Amino acid sequence: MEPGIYGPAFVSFPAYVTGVLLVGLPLVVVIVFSFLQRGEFGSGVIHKFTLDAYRTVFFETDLMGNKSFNFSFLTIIFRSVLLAFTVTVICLMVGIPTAIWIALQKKSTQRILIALVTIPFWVNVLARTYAWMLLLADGGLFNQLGSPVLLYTSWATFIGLTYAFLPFMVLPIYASAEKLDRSILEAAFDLGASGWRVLIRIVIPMIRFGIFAGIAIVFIPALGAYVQPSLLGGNKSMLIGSLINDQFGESRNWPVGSALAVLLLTMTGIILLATRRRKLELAS
Amino acid sequence: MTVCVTVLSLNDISSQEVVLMPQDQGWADLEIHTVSKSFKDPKGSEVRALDGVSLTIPTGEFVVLLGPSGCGKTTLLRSIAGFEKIDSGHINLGGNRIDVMPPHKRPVNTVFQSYALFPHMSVAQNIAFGLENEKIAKSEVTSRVNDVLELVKLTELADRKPSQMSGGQQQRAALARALAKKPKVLLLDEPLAALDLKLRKSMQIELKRIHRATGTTFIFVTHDQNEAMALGDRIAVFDQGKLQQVGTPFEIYTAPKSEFVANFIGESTVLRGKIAGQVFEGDGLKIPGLSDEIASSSSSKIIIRPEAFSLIEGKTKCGEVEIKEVIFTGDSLEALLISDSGCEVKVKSTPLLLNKLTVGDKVTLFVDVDLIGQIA
Repeated sequence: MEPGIYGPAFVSFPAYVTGVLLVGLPLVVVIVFSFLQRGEFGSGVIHKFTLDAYRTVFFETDLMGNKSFNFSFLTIIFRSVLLAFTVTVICLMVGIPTAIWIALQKKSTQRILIALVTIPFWVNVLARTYAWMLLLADGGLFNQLGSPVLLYTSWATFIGLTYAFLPFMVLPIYASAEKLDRSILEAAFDLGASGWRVLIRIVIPMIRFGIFAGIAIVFIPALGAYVQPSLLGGNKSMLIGSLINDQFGESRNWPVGSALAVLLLTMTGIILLATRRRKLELAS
Repeated sequence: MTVCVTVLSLNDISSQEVVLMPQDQGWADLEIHTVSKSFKDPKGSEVRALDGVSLTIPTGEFVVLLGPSGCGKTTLLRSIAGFEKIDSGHINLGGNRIDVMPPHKRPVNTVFQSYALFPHMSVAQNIAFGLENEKIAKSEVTSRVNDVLELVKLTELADRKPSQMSGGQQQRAALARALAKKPKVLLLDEPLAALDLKLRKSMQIELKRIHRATGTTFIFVTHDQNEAMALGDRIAVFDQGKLQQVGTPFEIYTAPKSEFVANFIGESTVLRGKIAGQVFEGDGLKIPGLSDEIASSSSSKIIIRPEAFSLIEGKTKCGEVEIKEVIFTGDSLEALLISDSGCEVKVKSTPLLLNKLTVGDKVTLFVDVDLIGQIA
């Protein structure tokens, strides 16, 4: 796009400031910290270049001074990816039919339903998570209805994450389903397709970009989630988000925390690039 | 079957022959019986989209449903396709009631106004989609796809996506997709409306060719009377949910039954007055020498097409008129005239008169009495 068409260049100044101050700068700080030494009393950093943080993540030293590969980090990563993946799949299974169903309603009904989907956003995520703690706790609603006590188990983490991210799956899919031309669906039925075939062969391929967007904005934050694993899961099984948090808190090792953050960032970056690639392939 | 045998034997065809005829060749007539359908408009009041419509369409006919927007023609088409549920009446195809079937079970297919091609599939995949829904062998699917692509002359573009094709090509693709299913009836919902005039004309010729080649019943919805005249074996004119008149283009043009039909198909001048003996008098004009048929009718409303009038001496003289407007269209000259009583008369004349007619002048009007029609 040619510069200047939409007005003078300085109008985009606030966008640059926001981008640099809120995104760029913290990112640079984290990356720089991951290459520095741990501070004397644990907090902060000493401004000397070292790869110690990455060494700590990947290797462990036993009492005899022998270095070996540290599998605990890989285990945590694997567990986090598995959880985020499961949450994403469940969100897809619930989100796709929900979004399509909303898109097929009358315009006025659609607006109400979408407002309902976004209602959870009006309440702080912490408050909502505490509400789930009450529901899942010993003597809570779920327990009274006959379920075992789920609070402080991985199930609680899973339920909390699915609940928190489901609207993020529904909204982008709805946005593309809402644009579906009704006559295209009629044409598919007219050509003898059953409802199931119309869904698989016509509707899902046509809303695929909404689905990709939903996957990206559910999977990535679910991977680094911290609130639900610590409050609902009770930090019983360590996830990457909690691990990073611990490094800046209790463990007082900012460089290792930063190194973990950089590794998480790199992973999500790779995933994003991969989906983007696939999108471009499909678009062409 | 038995019913048909009786009917045909009345026509001196031996029943032996009839029995030998394949089931699906003679008996796929589409019968629409007293079909009604109402909608609720946004304000909540009832709108009668179809009001007791009855129409029988024999196999292989090209029927055009014609009328202004909101007249019910599209509702009727969508009712045949199965996208609308009719309130009362029934629709039979080849003796089987189809109005109770879901759309994907009906042996009819639709060409949509917006084409409704699947954007994520190539033309060949679009066509194959409909065939894959039936239990057809893969090789048969491929050969039928190729056959229809050839029929609509799109063989070269088989692998294109709809977005990579022009409007006319998309139109052909949509047609091919519907025809590949070998429907008993092909429904076309204003399929040419989005094309420019030149393309529309050439697609009309194409449609006629394809209709002849396939022998399928075509039901074509349009609001364009020229298109209806050009395409239809018969035209069914709709207004306000009612079927106004059915007939060949010639019948509809030369003998419209109502003022609505007369004005919707072609232009005409309607004159109201008295008929005494064989002379019509009214609206400032006096026309002698009417046919016995018109003279003996109880109605005194007559309609005259612009080409039945003339400004050149030779036919029956019918009065003095003033020239209000002259429009030169290339092949003819259209003049709007005003009679003494203020009645507007539309006349089509030879372009040779172009320089002889001045707005405001008084001229003598002539008419060919053989071309005068009458409406109730």
